[in-house]
Amino acid sequence: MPDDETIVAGKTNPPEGVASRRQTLGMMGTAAATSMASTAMPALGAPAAPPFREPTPPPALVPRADLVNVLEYESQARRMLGPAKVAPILGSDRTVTDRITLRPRMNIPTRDLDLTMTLFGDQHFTPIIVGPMADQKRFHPDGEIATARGASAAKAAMVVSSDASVPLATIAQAVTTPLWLQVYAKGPKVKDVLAEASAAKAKAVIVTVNAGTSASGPATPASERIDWAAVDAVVKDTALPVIVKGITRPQDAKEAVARGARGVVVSNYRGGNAAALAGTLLLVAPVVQAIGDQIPVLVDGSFRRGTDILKALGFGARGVLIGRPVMWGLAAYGADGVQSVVEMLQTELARYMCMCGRPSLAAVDPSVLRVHAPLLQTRNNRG
Amino acid sequence: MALARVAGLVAASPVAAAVAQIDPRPLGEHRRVLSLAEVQTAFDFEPVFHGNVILPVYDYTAHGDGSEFTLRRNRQAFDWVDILPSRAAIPASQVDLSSELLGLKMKFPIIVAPTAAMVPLHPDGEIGMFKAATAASNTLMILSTNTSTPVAQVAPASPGGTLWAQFYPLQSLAATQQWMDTYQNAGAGGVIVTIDQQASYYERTQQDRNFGGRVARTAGPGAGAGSGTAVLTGAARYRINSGRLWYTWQYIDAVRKMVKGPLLIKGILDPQDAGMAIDHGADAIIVSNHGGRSMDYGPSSLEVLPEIVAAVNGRIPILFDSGIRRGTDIFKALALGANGVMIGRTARWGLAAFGTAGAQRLIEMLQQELVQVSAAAGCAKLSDIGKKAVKANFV
Repeated sequence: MPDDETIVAGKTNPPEGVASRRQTLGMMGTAAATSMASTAMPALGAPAAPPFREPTPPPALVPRADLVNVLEYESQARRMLGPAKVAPILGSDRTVTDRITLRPRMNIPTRDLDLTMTLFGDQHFTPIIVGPMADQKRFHPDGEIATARGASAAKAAMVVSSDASVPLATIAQAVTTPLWLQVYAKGPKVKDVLAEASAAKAKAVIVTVNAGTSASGPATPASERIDWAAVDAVVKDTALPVIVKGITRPQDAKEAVARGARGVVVSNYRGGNAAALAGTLLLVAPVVQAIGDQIPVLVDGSFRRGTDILKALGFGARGVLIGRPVMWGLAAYGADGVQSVVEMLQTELARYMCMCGRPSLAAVDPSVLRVHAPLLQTRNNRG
Repeated sequence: MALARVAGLVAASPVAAAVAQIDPRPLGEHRRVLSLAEVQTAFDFEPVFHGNVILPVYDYTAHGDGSEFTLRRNRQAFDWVDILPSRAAIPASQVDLSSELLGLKMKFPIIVAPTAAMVPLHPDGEIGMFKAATAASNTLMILSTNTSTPVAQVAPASPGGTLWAQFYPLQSLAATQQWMDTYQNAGAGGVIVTIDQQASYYERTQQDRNFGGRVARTAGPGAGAGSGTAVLTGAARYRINSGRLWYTWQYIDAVRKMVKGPLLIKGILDPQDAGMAIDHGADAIIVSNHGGRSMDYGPSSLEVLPEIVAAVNGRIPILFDSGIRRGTDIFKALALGANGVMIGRTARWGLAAFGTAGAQRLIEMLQQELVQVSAAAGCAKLSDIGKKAVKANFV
């Protein structure tokens, strides 16, 4: 990443403008300032004036229009939030996607490119959906409201976490695109949450299995099996389509179908403030092979570029949930940032669909991909 | 007064004497820019070029599409091919790599690829490049449609040289005919049609432009929703320039009728497309990913070359470009089945670093390197450089 140096600098020092202003203040002299303050001592008994404090200016961010890819939003979010607050949303795994190349095809007209798709009766502008992230006020004062506005502006559906920092009904008022609700299989008050979802006219419920009880809780051990009884309970308690999130193996996907799931999300997220996990791209094809003809397979995990998304579609995924990049946009630029991040991914996906000669999602198949062994160590060819 | 005394003391001290020395570091002299007499490999030209031009000009040459995965992979791919010295080495003087390509006699299977606007690189511009190519054993040069010197001026500038011309499909057949007339009237017999780069975006170039706001920015994908109230349809809804998304093979048929000389199709990376190019009248294809400038996360040109060679099966010549920096790179491409190679960026480094003389030196350097590696591998002629001379370890 070209920005790494800037980021490191940003971590240790406040942004340039801030530093120089503070220095200027310091040079005026702590001694001089204090002596002035002591001569202007208030009369006895009057309340002490609060010490003078330089208002902290907001961190200097790069103008939004100057950012050229989604990864650049990460450094802006870091600058905005500081190292502690940004930690839960940092990181990307590029190792899996770097093993997959796309097959360009020529002279296939794609001017009428169409990325629209239908899921659970709703038309989606693209297969890119804003994924569930808990407690978004951690990243922006407007939290989920800003995300909802940004996602709607980008014509993308949004999944709201059951750990949202804003009531679902309020979020529902801010969206113009399909709204889904995510719940944890073992979460508290699932019944109430599901009732809330129906009241807010949510279009689907994602139930996260294989995860901790909350985003900030401890990670569940990998060995723990999926609690299918909890999934059954959700299916029983709601009339909405239920999507099981956290599937990594074909046999689990088949079980989900048997339990009445109307969709699955291939995901290896296990809850907690985990660092970015290994990409899920190579887990998609086996799941699609097992159940793809029965219910739609979605996927999440380290999608950072349009090419990553095209690869998932090539493996048979019907859609992709985007988590961290959307939060980067939210943290740095609020609703506008969310819109930009989603639009950027839409544009990139469109770009590479065109260059691979695929004018519609139906035209995307495994022949668009080539999977390679992990990259060899490169030698120095400069001799 | 006191200050002056202190200064006098310092000046008299041995510390100040040491400071006054000119660069005490033993390798200091090597920090200066190399001269043309000192360059050893093509790589040596690159920093000189970098120093000579302004950032946007450097960026235009250096960068590729998207995250530049493919740009990097082009170079990595050469590392995945090993040269096997299967024959006994021969003296370099016995190596003769001459061949005939579409009726054109070539002393070396190396061609100068079409690249845009050379005058910003060096005042010698396209004319200098053409003179350099001609001086370097009559190397064929292909002039870009985005040339900064009109073809009518370039073609007669280097007597005895051969100039072909490249262009991008234009939806208007009348406009296409006009280009063909211009080229063929100027004496550019061969025509190269580039069919890749349908929707490319030079992200890194954009990053540099935005840095410090030195150059007015153009609307990128992050610029927000399309302004205006016009109802967008098709690809334009997703904020991409759909100007090149109409390309068809029928258009190639139409161009075929307009071109009297050789017609070459550039940008083939798939065996099926190679077959289509032959079906639609191409006299040769150029296996190329536009030097990593066309599609990010596409394959390196080298790794798809063998399967395209197999599909074409000798029906038409195959040229190769993308990532060539050394004679060994050329040898590998030839061994994997290419009939010749094109150099784009590398030729630009030569011109931008030292003008016409630099470009000539660079081309000759690659020719020499190719002869040397051929001699070491025991290949006396072009047809000796075959599959047995290399082992490809593509992943």
